[in-house]
Amino acid sequence: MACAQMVHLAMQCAALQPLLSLAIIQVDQFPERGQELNILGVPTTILEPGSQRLQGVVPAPYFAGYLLQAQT
Amino acid sequence: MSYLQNQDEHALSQRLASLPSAVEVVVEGSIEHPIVVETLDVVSYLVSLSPETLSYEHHSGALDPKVWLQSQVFRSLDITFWGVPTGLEFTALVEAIELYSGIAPQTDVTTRSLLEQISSRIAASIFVSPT
Repeated sequence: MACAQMVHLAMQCAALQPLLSLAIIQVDQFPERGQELNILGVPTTILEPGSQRLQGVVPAPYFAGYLLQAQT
Repeated sequence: MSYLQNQDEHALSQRLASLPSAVEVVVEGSIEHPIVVETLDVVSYLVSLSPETLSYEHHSGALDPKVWLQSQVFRSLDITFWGVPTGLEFTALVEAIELYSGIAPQTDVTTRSLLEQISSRIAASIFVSPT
């Protein structure tokens, strides 16, 4: 359920902020991508620019703050 | 192929029929790729539940198989799915369709305020499992 919660949260944010784009990647179907980025658990969110990563589910304001921080 | 039980299928069909505007689901990737074959099966099933509001296209040129959406009302939204949208991803795809159709997102005031302060592009990749 953690993956579903994180995807739900990110999609809600993307619908409010057009500068945010999302790629939702099923790591079991794209294992080479997961290995390349050293994905050790799900959900893992990686932001560009900055390559910051967030593991697990976080509250909505925390995620929005994390996005805001990533652009600086 | 049916992916839902009759009762759930009927409920989802009604939910999709009530979308405020039409949405197109685009599947990219070679038909020789097993992920694309299965994805097309899921997407065509989903579209068959509400052909009045949903349609789909297949673009065979892309190297990596993926699914994205487009609508006339919400051109700025950019959500791409990598992988067959089954399990929890099926639910996520339905939610994305609703957002693209114009159904308003539900978030708190603090989150909205923080999102409004974003001024440059951010790409988020979320790695998930379907269960």
